Amino acid sequence: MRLLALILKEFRQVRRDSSSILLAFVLPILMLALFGLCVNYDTSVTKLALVTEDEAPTAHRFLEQLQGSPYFRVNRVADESTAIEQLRRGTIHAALIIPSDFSRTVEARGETRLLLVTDGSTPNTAQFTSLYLQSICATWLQKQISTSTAAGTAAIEVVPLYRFNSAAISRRYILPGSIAVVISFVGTFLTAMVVAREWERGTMELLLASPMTRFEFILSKLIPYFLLGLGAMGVCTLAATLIFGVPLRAPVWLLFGITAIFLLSVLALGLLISTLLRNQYSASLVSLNVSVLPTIMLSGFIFELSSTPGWVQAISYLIPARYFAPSLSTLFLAGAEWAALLLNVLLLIISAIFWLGLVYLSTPKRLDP
Amino acid sequence: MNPQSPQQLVRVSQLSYRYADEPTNTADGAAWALQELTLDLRAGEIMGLIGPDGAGKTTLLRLLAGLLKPVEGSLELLGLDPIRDHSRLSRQVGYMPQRFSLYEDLTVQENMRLCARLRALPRHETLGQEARLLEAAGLASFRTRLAGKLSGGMKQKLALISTLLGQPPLLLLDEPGVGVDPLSRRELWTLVHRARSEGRSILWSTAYLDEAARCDRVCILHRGRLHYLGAPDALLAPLRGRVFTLEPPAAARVALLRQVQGIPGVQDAMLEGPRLRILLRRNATASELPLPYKLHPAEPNFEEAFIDLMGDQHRATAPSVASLEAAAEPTAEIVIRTEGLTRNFGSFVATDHLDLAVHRGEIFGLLGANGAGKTTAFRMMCGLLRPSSGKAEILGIDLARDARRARAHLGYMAQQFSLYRNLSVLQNLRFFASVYGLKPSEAGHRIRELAERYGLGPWLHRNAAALPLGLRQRLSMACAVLHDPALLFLDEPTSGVDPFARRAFWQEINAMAAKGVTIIVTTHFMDEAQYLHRLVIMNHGKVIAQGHPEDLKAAAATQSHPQPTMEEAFIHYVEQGGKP
Amino acid sequence: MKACIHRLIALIIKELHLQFRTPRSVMMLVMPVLLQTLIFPFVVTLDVTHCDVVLLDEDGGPHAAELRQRIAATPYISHVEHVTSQKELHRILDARQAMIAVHIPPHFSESIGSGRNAPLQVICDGRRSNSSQIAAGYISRIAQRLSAEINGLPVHHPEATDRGEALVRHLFNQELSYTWFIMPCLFGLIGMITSLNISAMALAREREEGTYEQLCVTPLSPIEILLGKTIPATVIVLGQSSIIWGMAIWAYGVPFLGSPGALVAGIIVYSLTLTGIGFFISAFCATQQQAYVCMFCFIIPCILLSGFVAPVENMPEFLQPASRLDPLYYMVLIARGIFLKGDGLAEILPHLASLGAIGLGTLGTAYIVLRRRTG
Repeated sequence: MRLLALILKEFRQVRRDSSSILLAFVLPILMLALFGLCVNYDTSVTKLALVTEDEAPTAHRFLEQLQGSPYFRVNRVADESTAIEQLRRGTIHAALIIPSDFSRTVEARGETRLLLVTDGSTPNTAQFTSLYLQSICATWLQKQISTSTAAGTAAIEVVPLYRFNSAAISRRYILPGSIAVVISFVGTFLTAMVVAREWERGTMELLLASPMTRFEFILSKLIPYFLLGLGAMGVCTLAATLIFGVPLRAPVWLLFGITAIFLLSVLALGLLISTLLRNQYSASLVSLNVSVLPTIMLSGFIFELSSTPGWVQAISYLIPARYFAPSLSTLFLAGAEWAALLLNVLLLIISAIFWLGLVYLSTPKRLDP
Repeated sequence: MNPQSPQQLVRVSQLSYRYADEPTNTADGAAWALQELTLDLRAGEIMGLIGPDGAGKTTLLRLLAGLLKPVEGSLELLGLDPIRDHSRLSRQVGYMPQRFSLYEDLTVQENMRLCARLRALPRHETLGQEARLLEAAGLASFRTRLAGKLSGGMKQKLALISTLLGQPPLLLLDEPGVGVDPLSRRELWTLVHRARSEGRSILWSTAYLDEAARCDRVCILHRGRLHYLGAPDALLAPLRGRVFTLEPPAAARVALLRQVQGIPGVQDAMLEGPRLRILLRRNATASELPLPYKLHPAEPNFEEAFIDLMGDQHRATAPSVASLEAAAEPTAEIVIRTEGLTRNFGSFVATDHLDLAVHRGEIFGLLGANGAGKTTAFRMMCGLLRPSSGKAEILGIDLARDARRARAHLGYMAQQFSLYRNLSVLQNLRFFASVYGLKPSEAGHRIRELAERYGLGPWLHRNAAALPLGLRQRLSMACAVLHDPALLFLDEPTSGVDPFARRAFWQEINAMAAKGVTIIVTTHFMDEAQYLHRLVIMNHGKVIAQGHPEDLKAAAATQSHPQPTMEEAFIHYVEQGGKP
Repeated sequence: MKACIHRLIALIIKELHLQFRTPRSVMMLVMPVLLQTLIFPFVVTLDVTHCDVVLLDEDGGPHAAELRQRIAATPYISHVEHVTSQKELHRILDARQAMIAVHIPPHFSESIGSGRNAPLQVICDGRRSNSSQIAAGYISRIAQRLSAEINGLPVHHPEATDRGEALVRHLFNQELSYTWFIMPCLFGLIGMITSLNISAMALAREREEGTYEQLCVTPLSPIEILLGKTIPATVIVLGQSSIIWGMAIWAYGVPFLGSPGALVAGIIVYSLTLTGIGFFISAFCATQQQAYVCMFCFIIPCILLSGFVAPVENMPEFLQPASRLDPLYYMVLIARGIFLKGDGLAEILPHLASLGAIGLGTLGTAYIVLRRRTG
């Protein structure tokens, strides 16, 4: 009865301030779209400056191969220093220098002698560029050799296969992870301000003087935003499957069941910030710093956590999204794969209990400590 | 559920409390918010908890409501312990925190229902009560309005009737009268008296001593200690025969006041309209006074009773009389002029064609019930709000053209505390000093002077948020006058301020007016009207009466009230004006 | 003019007092910087350094054994799990116990021995295709090298990554260190949160607490009030930046090749731009809650569009112009250019101009809105 009244109150406040609705329903789609469109590690076009000091037919054949590749947009420049200058200004990604003895070494020793200069300040692009170029060289050289020598050569032919994501579209695996991050933000932000607002506006005193228990108070703050969070999840799921074409291979109940456990953790995190700081200004600063960046960084869906030092991995265990992101990608792409889910779900439950417990302990019973 | 002794609903004995974050190095006692307090509340009585700012009223009520844990001593409500039996007790105690603890984004009805359900009252029972209470408070037609959109008086009424739901035997009300106009205040008291007649007990805390008369018993607190507990009348008894008024000619008034204050046998003296009011010390007699005017015996009031009770103690918090120059009458020069000043909010006309002219050195009052349009008019006159039509001029500067130049000459004190809560008192003062262009040396001097005059000295390094209500108002006032403005706009400056500080305020204002400062003030306190040179009474955005307070009072005289007080006169005008 | 400066100084001191009032509020400004500079450089890497592989060898021949051995010896591959059936292979992959699966089919060695091409199946986990693609890259390099050796082709250039077709030089960051990449980005990230909070949130707070109204009746002009937030925000951002700066150089050894003055100029312009955006946000928000949500709506797209998480070139064509409106995009370019490429003021000038244009646009709008509101 009392709990119901408190929940009703919270809902009414949400209805009157459209910002919560915006946060729960409009933002997730927007953010998901941005994640889906912006975070893309699939091959892209590399702007390549070309300096060639060799005009022999062999070099021309190589150039044709290069220009035929969809990965490179080749632009010839006069000399190396021009290319370097362009690299410095960031107008190209890499420069390829074909030395004057290129054709000669290919013909004489079956070897390509090239110099690729990349822009190391963006290591990701630099790495990919050099990998593409190497593979082009390798293929080209192989062709050269097989045409020049009659004897057949054996090669190990690597056949890549993508399980769960046969077309290897990075959006498919980015999106489930993005949903985890988006729900994490929405959950934390929905509650980060609510308790602080009660303190700032003086209504906390009214509530403390009433027979309301701490338990009821926390529940009344959790349940409405919990439902909003589930709504946000619904919106995200629909957007991911209908707009972005991500398959959902797990049953819907399981998806929402795991989301529910995760929501408890993030809502509790928001409540904890709000309860401890008691003013909206600080709560905003802390929740942005504690929630946004670490969640993107440490949830493991963009950056591979196993490559980080142990202590960073240890910190990542505090971040609920760390368990949720892999669970979601399994749920969406693989299905109810319990072997992959079980541990994460258990850890999610522990995390929910941990954060909720902290909220309970930090919620005051009186005005004085 | 039955209290052990039905006669004593509340028993407090040897109760002490200190805030944990309070600096403890101050002189003993000063750090205690409450010290060795013993009192009791009987069934069916209204007890007034009276004391100046920082006396410990709020602390006591919070302790009773179980929001704070006593450091020493014990307390018992309805035979229960407020901490241990919090959940049982809170169903039976209606607690109203200071300054509208309502959800501003919920409607009137939603606020009430929330309160009812928080106390787990059965729905069928509360529905009838709710309707009755809303009716009694005159809020029945505002059910669906957001609480944040109500006027101050209505908010307090709503907060009060919310605590009355479920008919709790005990009500703890923390300064319900703050920021409420006389009409609403009267309604609040009617509600409370009705509750008492239904057998409820009420603890009503207030800084307004005149409210003591409406209580069955009063408990006077000062600096955390109990100074008086008993019937209000008994408080006045020892003063009878010691209070006199005299009517000197206007020119000699101030000089006389200073002379009288210097006489050893005089405990207190103050100006009251054209009269001078004197309170003699216990052992002094009227005949001893070397005064050339005739003394008329007068009925003592509670303010004097309080002064008498405290002896000279209160002077430490209440500043001494500022140097009153010869009481200069306002000059003919017009410094504020409004012509057809109108402001609409949607279809609602908050201020309707206001034409005013205020002279230099005048203390000019805007009176009206909450929501009469005073604040809107006020905000347009100092350039905070653009008029929908009409114009306002300050010192000959059109506010629509060059508000910024005008602002350098005006001081403004908002109705709600609007200084930096997270800065210390000193930091606030320094900030506003430099914003108004005071040089550092000048500012330091001025801040020291004002801090002393407004009794802010001990609080200089505290956060503004930690100040009691009245001290906050003093700080706001200090910030508004730092730069010696030619015009001073005060929006309900004395709301929530204890009587001594209020009086000091007015003395300060008088002194400034005498120096040629023009003061525009809005107020709820009708007794303050006597300090005004001229006033207008507003209702529904229009001026319904204006003139000198004495003339307004005289004009409002009727057969039943041959000598109306300002409050009666005000109600008379509003009721008259309310009818078409 | 003198009076104006005097008032401005008062506003700035006030704001700094508010920000540094308690040890807790100082902590709230310093801790995020420290945490992020301590953690992020270790996180932001697209390298895969600890890769678990599950392997099914149905061939058992000499070439398969050689391949197995080479895979196990690869430094980035930390563990190879051998299984005996396809079912088990999939089970382990599905349970995320391995990043990729390698399947050597029957007759693998036989095919190679007879000079035919032999297929080698590498199964990536589509749930983390980026990492497993990189891991698959390791396997295919091993395979290429192995087949080259079998064919007796020369393997030169030990410094090149594989068959040595091209000599690669990574300019500005020879080791392709992600720490060198991320540290300059942090200037932008942390500066963004701080500047926005001080402008958007603090202004909304002043409005909620009524202090804004109090400021409006003083001789302060709207411009002064705005500058009174902008300058302290910039000062605080400069303070936070100096922590990052110091950490970058001394703790992480990131080279600083450019001009310090240019970096300071960049941070100042960046912070001014962001406070402009903050005012823009708060001009349209009535409460702190709303300002907060709007701020959040702004920060996330900025991070995603800046090219810090994923390269801008990989975004769809229609989104790329949007990143030209993102102040973080410019700040990342400025800081990275100065640190790694040795840029000076002349090189970053175009970026500064773009930032300035964004800032003036938003600040101008905010000013007009605030002016109209207060009169």
